[in-house]
Amino acid sequence: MKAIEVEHLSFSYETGENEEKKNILHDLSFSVEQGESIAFIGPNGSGKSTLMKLLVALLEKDEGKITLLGQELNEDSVDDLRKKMGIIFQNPDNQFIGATVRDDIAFGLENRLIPHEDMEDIVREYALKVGMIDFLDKEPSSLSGGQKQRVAIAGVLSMKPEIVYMDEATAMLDPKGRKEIMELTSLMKKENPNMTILMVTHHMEEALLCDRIIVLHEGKAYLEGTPLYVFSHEQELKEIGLDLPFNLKLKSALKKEDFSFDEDEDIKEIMKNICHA
Amino acid sequence: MKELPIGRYTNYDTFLHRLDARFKLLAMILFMVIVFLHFPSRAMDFTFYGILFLFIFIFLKIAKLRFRQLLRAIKPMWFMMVFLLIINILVVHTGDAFYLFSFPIYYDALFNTAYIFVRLVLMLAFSLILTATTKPMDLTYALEWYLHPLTWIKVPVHIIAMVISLALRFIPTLMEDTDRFMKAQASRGVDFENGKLKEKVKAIISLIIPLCTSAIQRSSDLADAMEVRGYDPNGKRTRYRIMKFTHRDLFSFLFIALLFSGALTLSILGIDFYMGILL
Ligand SMILES: Nc1ncnc2c1ncn2[C@@H]1O[C@H](COP(=O)(O)OP(=O)(O)OP(=O)(O)O)[C@@H](O)[C@H]1O
Ligand SMILES: [Mg+2]
Repeated sequence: MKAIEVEHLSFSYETGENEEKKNILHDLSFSVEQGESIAFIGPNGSGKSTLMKLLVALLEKDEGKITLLGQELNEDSVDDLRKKMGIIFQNPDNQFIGATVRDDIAFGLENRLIPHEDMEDIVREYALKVGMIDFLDKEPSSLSGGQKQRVAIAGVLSMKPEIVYMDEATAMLDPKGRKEIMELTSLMKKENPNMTILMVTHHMEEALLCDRIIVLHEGKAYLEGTPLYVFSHEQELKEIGLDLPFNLKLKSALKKEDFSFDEDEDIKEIMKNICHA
Repeated sequence: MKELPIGRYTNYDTFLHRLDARFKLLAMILFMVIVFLHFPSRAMDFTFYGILFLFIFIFLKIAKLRFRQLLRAIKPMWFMMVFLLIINILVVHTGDAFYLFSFPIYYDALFNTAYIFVRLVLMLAFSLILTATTKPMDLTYALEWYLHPLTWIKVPVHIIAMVISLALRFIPTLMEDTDRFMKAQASRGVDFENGKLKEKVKAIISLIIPLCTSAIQRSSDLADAMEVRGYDPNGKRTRYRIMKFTHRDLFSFLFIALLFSGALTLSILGIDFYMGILL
């Protein structure tokens, strides 16, 4: 089954009277299979966050059709569909709602009318899953950004979502925090292969880990395909100001210098061979 | 290490910390009522103030708070008190008086000031002990519990409680923001400490504008996060935290109730232990 189907989606923000309306998304179409993980990349202002907000119905589309899990997203279905999806935003502070870690994980459960007796177990289960079990009574001001993001993930996972969106969830973290979140994401995937993950990122290394990449540019899908396919279009990416992941960049630079190696060989192996030669 | 000002929640596990927030809030209010009760003589009034101070000492001891911290909280009041004393001496001209360099000073003036001072200190002490031993969030829950009857006249009590707890949650975040903006503006040459009033106002404005922008940005993000996680201000919600009234609370409640009704009876019947001999 398709988890997400977006057809001819257009959107523009409300503007003042004298400003001209600018289409942020323009006739955008794509679809995502259940269990797939997709990375959205694109230059600043290309509408990635806007797209995420449209998909969780925080914004209302101008034209087009969004179908999630076989159900069209509209006013009647939004409450039902929201129960099946969760989103993690960029800023760790601005999505921490509860006074402590345990209250924050419980916030969504309270909204979903989970009985009080069941909540403690669920809170502990997901705190354990994201490695925050020892911090249950800590307040957000005493947590690192990465820890806060892990709590946000626990909050989302505790609702057992079928689709998870991540809008630059690692952008405000240090490399260690970023690595932890990415490891957690792949763990999520492993535990629940049916979970569909859509992430927005500026880190090409993160995009490389996804099944498919969609490049947004000027409101359209500019390039779309497997990471290897997308990153083989170095020139096209460069034109819109995007870069290759480090090891792919290295490979392409090596190729220009007439080194020969297998395309999907590990970069460490290649370097070893070159150094030995 | 810098000592925290009293009144901030202290994360100890003491008898006072474990008491139910609803009871603690009620107890504080009862204590404050006792502070304002009128007894037939000044001697009786101050006897009761003495008893209340005794309680404060005991509470501080139990809650592992320091008396020094309380003194620090009172310190800023000295100036006001001296001012009040002067006003009282100039205005109050009743009862007996003594002369200081042939200037009449009435005892009533001194007593008036003493009353105000003692009452303020007592109230401050009780509220500080409450906030030092109760999590802000628990206080919010307690408040929500007491205000619950208002839902009958359509007051959105749970929304008010949510707003309060979100405000509490974001105080540290906004403080960090303030700190950051101050440093950023200082590095651009804004001087927050020196200068004329006009310059100071300008400096403050350079701080307030970015602070407001950031607060609005944060609250809009927060609203998004809450909405996506299924929060509906008018909808039903279950509760993660449920307050339990235990034996501990019951006994403490009985004790405070006894104390309160004793004080109230003495006050209403006008009983004077000292038979009018003293003051
Ligand atoms: N609330 C808003 N009102 C008006 N215009 C907006 C609003 N939010 C975003 N925009 C504009 O819409 C465009 C797309 O914004 P969006 O946040 O979706 O980009 P993005 O791809 O997420 O960028 P980034 O990589 O910087 O996060 C930008 O030009 C932005 O200025
Ligand atoms: Mg964005």
